[in-house]
Amino acid sequence: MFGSATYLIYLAAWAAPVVALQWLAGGPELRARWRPLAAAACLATLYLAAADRFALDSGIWTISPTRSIGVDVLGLPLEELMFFGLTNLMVVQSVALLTTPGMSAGRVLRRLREHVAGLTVVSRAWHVGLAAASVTSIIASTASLVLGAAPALSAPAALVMEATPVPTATWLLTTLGEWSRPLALLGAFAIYLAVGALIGALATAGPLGLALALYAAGVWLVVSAFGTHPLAATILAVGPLAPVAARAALAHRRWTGGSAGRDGSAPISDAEAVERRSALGSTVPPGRAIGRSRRRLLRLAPLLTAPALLGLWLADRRVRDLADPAERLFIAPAPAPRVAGFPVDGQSPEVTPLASFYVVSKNVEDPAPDPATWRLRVRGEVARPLTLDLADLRALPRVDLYATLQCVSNPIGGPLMGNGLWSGARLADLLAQAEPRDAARWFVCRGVDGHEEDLPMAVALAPDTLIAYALDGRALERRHGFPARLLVPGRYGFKNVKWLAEVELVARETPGHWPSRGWTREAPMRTSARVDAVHREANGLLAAGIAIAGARSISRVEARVAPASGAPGAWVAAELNRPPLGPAAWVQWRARLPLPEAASGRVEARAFDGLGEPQILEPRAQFPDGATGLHARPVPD
Amino acid sequence: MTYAAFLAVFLLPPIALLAIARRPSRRLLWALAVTALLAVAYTGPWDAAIIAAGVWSYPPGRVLGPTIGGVPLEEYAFFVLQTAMTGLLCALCLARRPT
Repeated sequence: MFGSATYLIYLAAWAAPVVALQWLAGGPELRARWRPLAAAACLATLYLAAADRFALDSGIWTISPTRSIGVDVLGLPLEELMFFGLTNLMVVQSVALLTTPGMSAGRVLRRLREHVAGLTVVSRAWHVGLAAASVTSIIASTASLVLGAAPALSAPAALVMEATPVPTATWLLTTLGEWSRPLALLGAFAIYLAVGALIGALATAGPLGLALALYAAGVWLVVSAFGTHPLAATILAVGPLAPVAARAALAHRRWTGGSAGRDGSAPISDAEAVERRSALGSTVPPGRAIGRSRRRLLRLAPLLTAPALLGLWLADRRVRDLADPAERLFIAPAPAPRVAGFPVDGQSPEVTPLASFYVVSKNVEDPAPDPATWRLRVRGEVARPLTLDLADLRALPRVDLYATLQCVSNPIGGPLMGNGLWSGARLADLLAQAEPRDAARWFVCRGVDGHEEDLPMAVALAPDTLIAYALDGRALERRHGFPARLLVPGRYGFKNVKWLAEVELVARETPGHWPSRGWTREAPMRTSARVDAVHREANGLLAAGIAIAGARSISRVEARVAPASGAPGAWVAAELNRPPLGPAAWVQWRARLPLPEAASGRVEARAFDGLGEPQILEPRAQFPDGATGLHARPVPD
Repeated sequence: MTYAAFLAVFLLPPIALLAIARRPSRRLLWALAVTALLAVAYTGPWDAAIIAAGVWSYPPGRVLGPTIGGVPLEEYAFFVLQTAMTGLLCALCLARRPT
């Protein structure tokens, strides 16, 4: 779920509460002996790190390269070093506390109870946090704008999308279309303001509050660092802490007079400082320490969100502009007219204009791989693993073919479908170089964004399965998967992995992103016809549309008039724009139909695939295997 | 090398050396037992989750085979042995530099 941040997030979620609890329970005792404790923890960590390196090198255990960030320290993944550092820290603190004379469960509990009592000021300090979070989001948005990085909030927005139940997410993506991205960012922004306000408020509430605030900030930092520039992520995480931390430091010094203990004993704990503060008769909560006028200013905090939003929007636009190569590789000829009279007014053109080619993406922020550093790897059950750059890919024999892409969530007659001239290298040519082993039965394609889908080896070896790098003669646009994507004609869109990074040959089926959420496993596109236009003419109706049957070509299309009440008319064979552009390209059709006798009615159409198999007429929803049913368009008055 | 052999080679000798260098007191042994128990109880389920998430994996030939909640037995042994090793080292450091 968390991609390459998975290990880090698991580590933080697991270790931080224990370490915080140990500090809260025995802060003064641990602080008094921190040197020998740190020495023991460091020594043990270095030793275990060396042992771990041996274990990893000799394969006793392994760490997933896709679930860790890929930063090595002392020859070890950073997370491994952190794991041993944190486990040893927890062990030495536990042993130190358990062997301290006079440490009793009662003493620990009393201390923890005091810390919890300190949290009551949170409700009064939320606006401090909100103000800080607003200012912080402005700074972070500006930073990501200046750095040309993805919007500072895109990773948390992606997590929100990921956490949304699949049917809801699919419905949102298809209903909102282009709006889903800005709305997700807006949602993430609202969540950030809430989290930021909470972090800021918690930080005012004594040691327990500070521990919780640091924890929340840390988790936020890890999550957001994977969608944007680390600097912008750091600003987002640390920002809400800054003003309260500064004020807390001042207050701490005032109340404790420095942290030196009385009579040379252990320095007093923060909880004891709180205790002493109330003993001094002060009942002023920290939130009140801010002057009244400043407090009124803070109430205006929500107004600060407007410039933050503007920054967010600007940063988003900047990224889009940076990453659209729109490079023309060759002039794609427009298909020559073959049957006079096509297209009919209002009918979909044979080749969908690039600007209106549908896009469905589950990413909040699509990847923008740098073409100079992008590589395509072929690995797994192959004798010779390959790594290709874009020039290598384009140097392979180029195949041009027309194919229609359709989203599995496209309703019958829906717009999530487009036809174009795809160019690329045959996957089979690549595999011939890599020499697949006999064990290879499936191939898994992985995108730069982590999207993963598999299909049987037979599909990989089919002559029309391409690693496509151009659509209609232009370099793939970013939204269509620049620099290269998989193109499997006749399969629903999600199998055509965009921003392709890796092809792995495997022995077993490994269900990808959507199939593991219940969607069709091999995603063959169903046969369907769409009615694009119905015109009233002097002696009848002229209906026109398109029909597609995956990669199985279209043999016949029929249309009929169905009056509002009563039996539908007879099916009439439609005229096709032949020969089709390809077996996997949609076919234009038009049909002359009798005028309906009733005042109102609709035109229905059905298609037959290359084997003469008719489309399924029973209406079914898109989930799980793609929609079925008859498409109809009303007869105009 | 198997996981079990790894534990025998990398963890048992330092534990033995540390135990000889400074004989653990009854109180220390009690602290180690409590810490090890907490480590197993708290880290076991987490280990199962991180294995399920695909972060850690143990090639079949390197582990004995039995698992508890998907976590190899050797893994639990590692928690206990690491606690013993680091705990003994900690006691040694604390004793060398009294507070």
